[in-house]
Amino acid sequence: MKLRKTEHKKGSGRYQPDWEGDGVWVEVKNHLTAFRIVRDALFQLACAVHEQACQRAILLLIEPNMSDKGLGDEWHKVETTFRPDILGRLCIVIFRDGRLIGIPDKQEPDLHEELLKVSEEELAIKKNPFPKQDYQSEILKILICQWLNRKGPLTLDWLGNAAGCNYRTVVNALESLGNALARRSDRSVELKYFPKDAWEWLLVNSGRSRLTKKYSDRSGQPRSIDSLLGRLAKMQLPYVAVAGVLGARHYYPDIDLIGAPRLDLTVHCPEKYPDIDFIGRLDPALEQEDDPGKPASVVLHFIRRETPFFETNSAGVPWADPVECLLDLHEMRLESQALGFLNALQSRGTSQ
Amino acid sequence: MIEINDVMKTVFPGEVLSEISGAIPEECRKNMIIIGSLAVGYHFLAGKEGMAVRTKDADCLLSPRIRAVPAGEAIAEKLFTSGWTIKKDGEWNKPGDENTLPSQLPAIRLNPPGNTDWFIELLTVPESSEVREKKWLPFKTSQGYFGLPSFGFLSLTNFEPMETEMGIHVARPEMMALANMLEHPRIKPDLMSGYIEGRRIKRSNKDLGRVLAIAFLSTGEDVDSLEKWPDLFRKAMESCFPAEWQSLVKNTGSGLRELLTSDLDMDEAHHTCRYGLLASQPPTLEQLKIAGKRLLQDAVEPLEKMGSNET
Repeated sequence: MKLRKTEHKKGSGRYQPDWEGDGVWVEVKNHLTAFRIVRDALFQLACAVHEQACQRAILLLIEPNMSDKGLGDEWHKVETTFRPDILGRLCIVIFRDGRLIGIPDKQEPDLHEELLKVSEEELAIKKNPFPKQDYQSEILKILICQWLNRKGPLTLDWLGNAAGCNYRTVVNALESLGNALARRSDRSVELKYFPKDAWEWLLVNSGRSRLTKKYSDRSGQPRSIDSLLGRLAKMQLPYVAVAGVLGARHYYPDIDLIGAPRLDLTVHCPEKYPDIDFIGRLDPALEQEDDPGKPASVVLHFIRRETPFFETNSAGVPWADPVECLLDLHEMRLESQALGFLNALQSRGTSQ
Repeated sequence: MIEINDVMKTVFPGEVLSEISGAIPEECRKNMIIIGSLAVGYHFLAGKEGMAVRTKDADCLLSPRIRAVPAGEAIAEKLFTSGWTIKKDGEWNKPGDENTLPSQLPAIRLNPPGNTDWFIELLTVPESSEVREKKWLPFKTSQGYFGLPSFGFLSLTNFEPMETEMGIHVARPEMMALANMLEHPRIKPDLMSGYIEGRRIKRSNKDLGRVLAIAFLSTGEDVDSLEKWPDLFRKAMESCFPAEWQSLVKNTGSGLRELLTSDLDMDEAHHTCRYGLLASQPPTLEQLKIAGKRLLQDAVEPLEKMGSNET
């Protein structure tokens, strides 16, 4: 049996497991430190099993910071509390040091390999170096992007779905825009003009809110940006878009710059830590560069909102949205080019 | 000790090729293909000021096989007449006679007049695509009997060689790389007889190190050059091994992969490059490894896939 990660839908009101298979639910808790959360999770699973069609529900504890004995004691309390028909469909599985331990000690042979895979993947997500999602920045970027593209008013629901956050978060994020935001009676919003102050704030915060990874060439025989771009295009990765100078030039061919100092890529990863193994395929000579003072050949920026707003051309190469490209130009200290690009984007919209 | 045992000497590929071309009979030039480090050096470094390679020999392939014996005889006689002498040191330094078994005959190895830094060695291509073990083709000279060795995947170096302005040919570097990779599907323990800068090196590491050196030199000229190799590899394999090329190419990179994951073997390969083909522009160990990874990714894996897709 295969387990697949579920897509959490906000506001549905029904319990949704983290993973599911045919009649099997898996609730994952990573590096737990409190028995209270184990109890809560088991209770939540018991209710869900009772109310919804599910044959088995597994609480998967990844590397919990609590002893197996303590967890066994916790299970014993559950045994004396829950009805047998519910209890028989529940279990705890602990993933520790690459091995699975079941509580009660019943085996899940048909799920063993799948649970190991789930554990490894969840562990990787836990190691995810992303900072806490900055929805205010995301919503601001989406608003500006849509405004530059003259998309008209946007509903708060639409914004929430695009950013991957709830209604309340959208409302909070919009508060900072003040007079720059036009609010309509149908609960839709639209920028009245380019929000300069909010943009300045975004630039100041982008270092924190955008996770960036830089790669430099270690071969002594660096590939040209065009060569790297050609290799990327052959890989056909829908979640990796070209940004930076090349992206800006895609939208604004008259940008005042010859060539490109590096290849900026925007990686879309709304839920999990992205697969960046493609860097090795792009060129085995690329190694992560941790020294911010050293130049990079390839720079990755990660966006975690639900909708990437990539634009794909006829060659199948996705392009990051203009706002990401603009942020990249600022990051490279290409201020005059960034200003020229922004002006061009604004006048493009008005001339349409 | 290093001075005494080191077999590698600094030579300028263009000068050596010119000397060989001038010394052999004009009518034999079209039958001669320079292979090995000298050919690689000539391809990538000739004409570049101060760019030398360190090598011990000039391996010369005589082709086609049917012309190898008469060409070998004519070349040997002309060189003897011009003062070239049988290499004295090492084993196999005496010619055989009419009773010597072909497998016991020495290869002909001749030093140019007054110069023991390097020697010329004559080889030929295997008699058919199925024959890959070492075979000796006897030939007679005024100084005795010698053998023309043929083995393994030497026929690949005979695929579309490039003609030089001197009339002789040089093997394509990518074909030498392919031949060496196929010759070493794993790292064998056999050691080279001579020392390279004080160290005895596994033959596999020396030959696969040459593969890395070729890749490094090639990407130095054009970093995307390796992407053009798979089609050429396939053409050569189909031409040289029409009946079995698919099965032969499936594990082309296995020896190279083993090399890249073994620190000790990789260190030996790096050593042979630093004091051999890449002596004039030695890469770091990391750079040489990257050349190997690029080669695997851009040239070897597509070729291996071609073999798998055909069956």
